Amino acid sequence: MNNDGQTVFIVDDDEGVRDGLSLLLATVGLSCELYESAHDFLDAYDGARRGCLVLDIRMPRMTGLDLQKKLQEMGCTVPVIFITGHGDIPMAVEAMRHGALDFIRKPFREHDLLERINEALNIDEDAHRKALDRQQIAEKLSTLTEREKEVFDRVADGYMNKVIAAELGISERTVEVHRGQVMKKLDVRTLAQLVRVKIELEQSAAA
Amino acid sequence: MSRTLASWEDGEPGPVREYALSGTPCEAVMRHGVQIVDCELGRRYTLDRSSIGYGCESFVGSPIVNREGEKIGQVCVFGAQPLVDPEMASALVSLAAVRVSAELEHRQQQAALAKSEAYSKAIVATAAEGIVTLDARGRIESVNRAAEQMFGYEARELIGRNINVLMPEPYRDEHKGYVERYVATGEGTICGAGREVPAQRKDGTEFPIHLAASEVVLDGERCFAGIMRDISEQKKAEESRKAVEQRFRAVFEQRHQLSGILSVEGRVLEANRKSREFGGVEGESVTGRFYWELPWWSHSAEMQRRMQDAIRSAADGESTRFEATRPRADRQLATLDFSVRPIMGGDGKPVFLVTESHDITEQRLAEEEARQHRARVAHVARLSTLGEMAAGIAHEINQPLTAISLFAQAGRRLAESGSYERMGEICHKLNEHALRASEVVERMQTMARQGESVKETVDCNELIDTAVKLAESEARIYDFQIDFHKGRELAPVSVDAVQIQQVALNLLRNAMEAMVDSAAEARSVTIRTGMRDDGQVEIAVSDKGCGVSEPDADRLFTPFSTTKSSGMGMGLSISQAIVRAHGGSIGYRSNDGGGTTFWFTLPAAKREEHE
Repeated sequence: MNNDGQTVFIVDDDEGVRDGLSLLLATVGLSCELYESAHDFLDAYDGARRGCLVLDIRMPRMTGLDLQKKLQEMGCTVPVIFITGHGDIPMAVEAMRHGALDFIRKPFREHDLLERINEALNIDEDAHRKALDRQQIAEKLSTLTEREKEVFDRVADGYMNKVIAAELGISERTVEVHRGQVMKKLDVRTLAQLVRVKIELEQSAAA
Repeated sequence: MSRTLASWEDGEPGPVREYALSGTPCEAVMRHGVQIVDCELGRRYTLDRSSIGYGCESFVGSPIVNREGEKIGQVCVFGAQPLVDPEMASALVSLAAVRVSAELEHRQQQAALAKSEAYSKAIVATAAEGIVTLDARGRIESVNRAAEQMFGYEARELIGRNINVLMPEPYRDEHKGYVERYVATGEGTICGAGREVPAQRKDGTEFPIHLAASEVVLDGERCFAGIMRDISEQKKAEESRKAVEQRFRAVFEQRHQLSGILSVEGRVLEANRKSREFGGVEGESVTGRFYWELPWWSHSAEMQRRMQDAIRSAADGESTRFEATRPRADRQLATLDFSVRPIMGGDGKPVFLVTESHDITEQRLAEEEARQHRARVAHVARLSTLGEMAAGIAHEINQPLTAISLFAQAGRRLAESGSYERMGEICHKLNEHALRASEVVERMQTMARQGESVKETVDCNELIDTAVKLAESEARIYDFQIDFHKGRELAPVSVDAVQIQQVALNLLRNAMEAMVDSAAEARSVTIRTGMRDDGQVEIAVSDKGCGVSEPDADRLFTPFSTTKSSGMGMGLSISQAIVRAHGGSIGYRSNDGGGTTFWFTLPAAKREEHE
């Protein structure tokens, strides 16, 4: 299990549940931090930290649902697993609608719990890697000239060199030179790779 | 010193002489009796320092002896010449001494008689009783002042008339010749310790007298004395006392309550009909027996003991009242509201004791039925409440179960990897959370219990604490804060704990429901305990909710009326029934800062209840 630099943040008002969770997670080598209330967690929250959130849905003053909404408002994308008791299904459904990874009912089956937590940590890891990739692409993209960017957009959208040349009012040969320059700067060898970069850019812009 | 009473010297009466007796021949007379000295008197009595026999030659003295044999004086003669015939002289002097003694005695008797007569006259004259004396023929000889006043006659009008003039008809006629016949034949009775007879005044009115007569025989003549007292006032008082007693007796005897009068020692002086016949037909007499030994209480040694104790305290001036049992005619035990109290005499000490019992069997049965009914309704309401609280309770149990499950799984993993250091800690946690879960179950079970309603003496804070914990299981899932302010020095209360917890729980849940729409910060309920000025314990639950609206106020305590979307509407009505059955009251007031306070009170336990 690879969770270097990742922390399981546990927010539950019940001390017994908190202690039990932290002990169980420690036995599988996961590091965790315990919070008694949503407020305590928010006070200590640092957006740069990686991991996942295990959140009790019912808590005094600020419920798990409230905390989830608050974190979304703050642009935090850390995966959230809700823990629920009997009769909390409507709240759990509401939580899922707001993008929770899953909810697990108390008392937990160890397998379900650990599997969900691992899944959450992987998602966080993926997101982290993707974020890094996006950053690299953005850096490479910034080295393109205006003309090269225009050519990149059109090549990625599948236009023929001839069409691009006509549209931009330059020679077909010039288009080819720019295209070569773009592939070199973006560190891609095939047209397919170039298209993928373009898609990723669009996705991150949408996000 | 001696003194002469009479003396004769030189042929004529001599003066009174006083002289010292010591050493004189007179002293010898007083000591040894008759003394005769025929000559040379001076040489015989050399120690005589008196001048009584100075220069005399002879002496004869004889003591005067009274009836009791005491020497009360002497007759003596001093002679200037020697005695010629000493024996003749001695006989003459002794004769004189005897004669003087007889004369003195006669004088004393005369004086005593005169004194006695004077006394008698004075007594008769001033006596409060009328005194009449009769001769042997029954004629009146004397009448004293009291008799004159009693009969309205003057003495002279009565003296010489027959005694029957003082009697009314028909006795007057019958009495004619009665005294004469008695004297002649001994028939009939006149004398005696006294009896009540009718009498008649001069004006013809009759009145009762008490007459004591005695017979005197004087110089062979019989006569009679009668002492009489007007007893009409006494008779009147007696009659009115009899009437009062009759009235009292009628009331006492016909009372519907079981009443008795006992001596201070506890013996039955009177027991009225109701109390005698309570157990069926009247059996053996109860009068004179110790109250606690009557067959009425023989079914229970405990009852006998309590009766005896109660009567003892009553004799010490303390009233006692308790519920007693006594078999009825149908052999069923009746419940009696029994009391015994002392009746104080003028000196502040009990003179007798009064017992009173009121048959409250039916009343008790009705109360018991009502109590059971209330207990059943309360139980149903509790079950319904528990149903409504199911989510909260499930959550409350699920928390420790989750912790247990987590610790168990962690423990297994550690064991599998051969790491045992934390096992002790883990097992401790497992146990701790298992107990926590069982506490919740126990609280719930207590609430669900349909036991006999048992009153126990408890501290209100402990009682309410349990109710608060139950309410907190709901408070947690609906995000309410419950603050419990425990009052200090609360009097203990004697209550059915579960029912009182039910009332507190009900008020707490109502308070929370009143605030479901409130903001998170305002969602707090306060419960307080404290003593009121009247000595009752008050439990008050305050919310910051919407308050009680005017139209709802009237129906607040009405069964099956509710403003809530869930529930039966039984809560406040059953709470009111429970509180009232405990002798307390329940109500509500609006808070100054908004919201409502519902309160109820419980009377402090009586002293014997918390022993």
